[in-house]
Amino acid sequence: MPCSCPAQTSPFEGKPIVDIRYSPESGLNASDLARAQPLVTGAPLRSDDVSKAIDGLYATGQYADIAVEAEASGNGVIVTFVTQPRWFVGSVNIEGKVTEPPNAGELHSNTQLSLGAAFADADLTRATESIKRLFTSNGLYEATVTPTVDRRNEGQQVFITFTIDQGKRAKYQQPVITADPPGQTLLSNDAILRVTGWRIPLIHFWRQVTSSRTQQGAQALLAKYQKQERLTAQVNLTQLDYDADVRRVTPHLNVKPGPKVEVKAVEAKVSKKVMRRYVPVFQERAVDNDLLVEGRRNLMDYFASQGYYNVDIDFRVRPVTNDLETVEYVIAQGQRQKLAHVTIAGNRYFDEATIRERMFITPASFQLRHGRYSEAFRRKDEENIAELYKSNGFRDVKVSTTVENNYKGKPGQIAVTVTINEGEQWLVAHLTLTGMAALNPESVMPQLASIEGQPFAEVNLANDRNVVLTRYFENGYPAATFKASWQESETPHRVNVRYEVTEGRRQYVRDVLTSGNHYTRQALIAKTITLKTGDPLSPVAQSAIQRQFYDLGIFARADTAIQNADGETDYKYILYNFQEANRYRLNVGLGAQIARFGAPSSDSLSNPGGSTGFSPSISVEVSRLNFLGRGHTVSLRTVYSSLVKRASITYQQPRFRDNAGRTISYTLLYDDSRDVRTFSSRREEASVQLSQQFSRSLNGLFRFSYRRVSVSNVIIPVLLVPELLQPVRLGILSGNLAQDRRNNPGNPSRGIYNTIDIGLADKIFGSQRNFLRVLGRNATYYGLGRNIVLARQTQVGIIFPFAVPAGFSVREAVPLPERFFGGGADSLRAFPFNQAGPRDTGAALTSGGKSSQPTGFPLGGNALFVNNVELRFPFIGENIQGVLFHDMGNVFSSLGNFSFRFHQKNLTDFDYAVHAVGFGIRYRTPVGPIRVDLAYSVNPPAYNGFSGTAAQLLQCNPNANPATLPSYCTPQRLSISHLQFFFSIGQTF
Amino acid sequence: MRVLILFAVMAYALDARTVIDRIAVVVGKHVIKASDIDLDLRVTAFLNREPLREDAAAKKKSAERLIDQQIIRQELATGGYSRASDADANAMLAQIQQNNYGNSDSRMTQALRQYGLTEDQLRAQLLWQLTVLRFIEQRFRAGVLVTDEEVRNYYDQHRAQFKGDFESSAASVRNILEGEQINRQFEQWLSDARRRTNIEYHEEAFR
Repeated sequence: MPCSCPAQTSPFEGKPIVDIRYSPESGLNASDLARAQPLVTGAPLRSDDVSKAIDGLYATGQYADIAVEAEASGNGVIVTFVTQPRWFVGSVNIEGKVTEPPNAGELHSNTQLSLGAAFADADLTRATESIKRLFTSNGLYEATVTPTVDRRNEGQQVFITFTIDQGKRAKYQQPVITADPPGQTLLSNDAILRVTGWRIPLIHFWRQVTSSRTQQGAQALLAKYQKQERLTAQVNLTQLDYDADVRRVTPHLNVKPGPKVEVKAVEAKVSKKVMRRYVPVFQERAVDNDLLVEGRRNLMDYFASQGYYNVDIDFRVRPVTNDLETVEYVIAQGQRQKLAHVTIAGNRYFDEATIRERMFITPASFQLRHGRYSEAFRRKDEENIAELYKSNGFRDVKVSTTVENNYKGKPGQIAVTVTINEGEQWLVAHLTLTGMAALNPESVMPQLASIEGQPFAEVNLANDRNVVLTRYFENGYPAATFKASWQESETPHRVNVRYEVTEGRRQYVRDVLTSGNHYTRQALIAKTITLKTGDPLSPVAQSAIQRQFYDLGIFARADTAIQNADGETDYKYILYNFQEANRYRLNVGLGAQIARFGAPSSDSLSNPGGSTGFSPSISVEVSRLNFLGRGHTVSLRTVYSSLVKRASITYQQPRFRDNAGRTISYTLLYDDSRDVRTFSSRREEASVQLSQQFSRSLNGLFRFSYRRVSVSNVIIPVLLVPELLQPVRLGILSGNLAQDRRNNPGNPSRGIYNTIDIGLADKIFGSQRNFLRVLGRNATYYGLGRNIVLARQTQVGIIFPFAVPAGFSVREAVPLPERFFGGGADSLRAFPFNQAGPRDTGAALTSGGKSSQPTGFPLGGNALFVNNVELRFPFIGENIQGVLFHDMGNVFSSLGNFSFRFHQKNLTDFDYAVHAVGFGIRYRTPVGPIRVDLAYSVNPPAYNGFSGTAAQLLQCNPNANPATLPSYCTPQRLSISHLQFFFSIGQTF
Repeated sequence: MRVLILFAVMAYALDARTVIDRIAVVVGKHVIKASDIDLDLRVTAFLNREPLREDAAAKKKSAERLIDQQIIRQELATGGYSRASDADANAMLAQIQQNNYGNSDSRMTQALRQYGLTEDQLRAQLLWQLTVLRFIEQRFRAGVLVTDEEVRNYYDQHRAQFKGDFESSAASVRNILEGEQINRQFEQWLSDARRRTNIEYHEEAFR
């Protein structure tokens, strides 16, 4: 608006400006100030320029008020901008004890004060009133809310604290119930009260008022009417009266029960359940034409899915008679049909599988007995296929379908042929990209779809627009615009595409301001912030930093905003406001294991193969997060069960040496395990582990552990030699690499998972035993059609002992707890838990060691091979999956004895491959699939066992004449059961 | 003593700063300045050929007009409406000169000078007023519907105002009724828009 203010400025108009001042100092960045304010020293003062200066400065958003003063100075004039700075929200805190509801999140959102937004004193009054309303809706009528504002000049921020004293919560009292028409609630007041739940049944105490309870009460009453088929019933909570003297609230309810509504099918049978599912009047609680039309459409789809492809459905609403309104769906089912075959013809550019993926029409199969077909689906498929071709440059594509009734002469059977006339593919002849000055066009080109030689489709122009604008957005150009145009080239079926970019002004980071961290060290926060003053203002980088703050695991909330986002300035403050998480975390878990296992017995030697057992367990984990404000974690974890007693203390330091994907941890561990039938193992260990995430799918770790392992509860004579019983110190340096490219680690349907773990125990690490241990795993997952997955996994493990101490055989040089044990739900389902591999045959294990009658107890091995193959398929509904599996492999005494042999040679031969086939069920739950597997072991091992006590075994001299020995010394021929049953959580692999 | 008083007066005079412009009203993200109000008062007084009044009440009244104009300006910026041309403004300026100053350049220039205005400022104001009129026409004319019955009723109730019979007066009546409807819709829209817009008065500008 042009301006001249001669009455005011005339004394100074045209006089040279000798100085320009700001009172207080301008809070703007120098370049923003120069852009907003056109007056310059030395130039004559013009009222138009003064007016523009006010407009420009106000548009920056940094000022709430601006006045311009002039003062004579010699022959010139001094101009002073007297401003009132605008304040911006730096944080909003709620203090004081609040018993939920409302919760902290509700209180925050009710203030409507957003981080970085402009703040005025009136906002405080509005926010206070809003919080008070929230409290009163929750029965807290006595609540007081006291706001305080802390203003800080840095970034013109205000830090607002609402101090809450919520007072006592009111209780309900007898509601006032009115009806429309009057008196016709159709329920007694007592019944209504019961339904609302505002009074405790039997003892008749009134409950405390909460917003959700009030709403739920009204909803429950509505549901009660709907249960009586009164679908159009209305229940309105008209007011809540508070009586401060008795601290009671009287709800006022107005009810309109309306007539009963019956929705029924005519000329066809449709269950009530189906009606309720497909006719939305039940969900929307209203009967109107739109909902009935939607119900008709849903029912047609339902009948089509049942094979009634030619179903015709209409509906009519009968007037209310005797308190009953009837909606009738008149259904002419027609003949039940089956879509036997779908042919796709004429496709050259796309293969059939690609086209079928986009089709609703599906031929009959095990899952869809009648197939899926309807006229609507057919038309939709034509559109989808045409769209697929058009988006790849086939602008002239024609898709048609023909339906063959009585396919192959069978009545009720149909076939559909989809004919595709692809036409010529249109290609981009030339792409012109103009206006890109700040960014290099070459950096964007590879991501564009409409480059020379590529298929031309208008949908690609929109995608390219997103690519270009996103790149600009990431680089601080929020106002960049993109215009696409095209025209046919001289060559037929070729087009020239033109993109015009208008970059707009670039925005930069003025500074990054943080607040809300009370315990967390500023140095840790500063390390995480990668944006610095002068960097392009990239919302992408801003969000990435926010994610990293959350990844630290020490903040319950890490809010971020650009301060004064709409203000016309190029330099913006980025704000991060934190709410620190609780620094202590306590997790207590209770669980139980049911499987074929058995703890080592102090006397009985029966059941060397284990027996069905039950092992309850309790786990407790206490963590101190954000230790010393450095983002480190100290955890104490304990597990106690009849099989395992374990305790560990871990100090974890994420982002080791400022590397976001690197973590170092130090652990002290005590473990007492009794999960192998033969012995108990005890491990006391100290370890340090460095893990590194190399990429999204590749992780590695290095670990050095020093431990003391010992065995106890050994009663089988061959192990009762000092060499095997003495505690051993092991120093092991190990490395692990894991590549995980599964689409869903909890329940993968495609991808690959590889791990390799190599550990070296050597005397240079202080180890009393020397061996190299390698364990590798490779798993792949293939999708076979919709929801069918073929999964396979191979595990290979080898232990190479070296520098064997005197008195040991190579095989026995590896301490018992360090050997491979296998079998069970997660490895080889041909065996019960840890029952695979070599067993006690009675032969001495060390030179000069004891021999005895065979007991058949598992001894573990130095090599392992397990191969699992699973076919996972939908079984019942959406949530139950079926699995057919084949497991093969074993734990072998050594690599030299590794064999794929199918048959066991004799009762002392365990080095052969055991096979199991089986069927399993997976039930999908939020914590992973619950798994039940039934396996049939095709060639389980047989072995000699001993059914007596340890004392009796000692009386059986294996070198004596068997005839002279007591009867219990006769070896018992035992075998692993053919049938194995497993129950657990999670996929096998 | 005299010297001291002289120094005090000089110091005051040296320190005397005059407010030459300031924010008077905030309308959404834009401001109306004291200088905008001053110009509006001068142009209005000139067009109405009235003495210039710059008291608080006159300023407030002018501010209200400018708030409405700012709201229209925002709507114009987003709505894609056509604007009046310089030729339209020049024609109106010529008409004012013809009607009020006997088509004399010098008389009109002198009158403008008396009101502290330039011809360019007046032309810009006329251009803006024509744009507003055009906006009202474009924005609200389409929603106006006057029935024959309403035309007849109005004619019957205001028969004395019309010289001719119903047939010859119907078009005029229809114009009047359409104008009334447009005004009603415009005022309603403006009232709604003002309710939705953050408007802050800075009282210092009206003192």
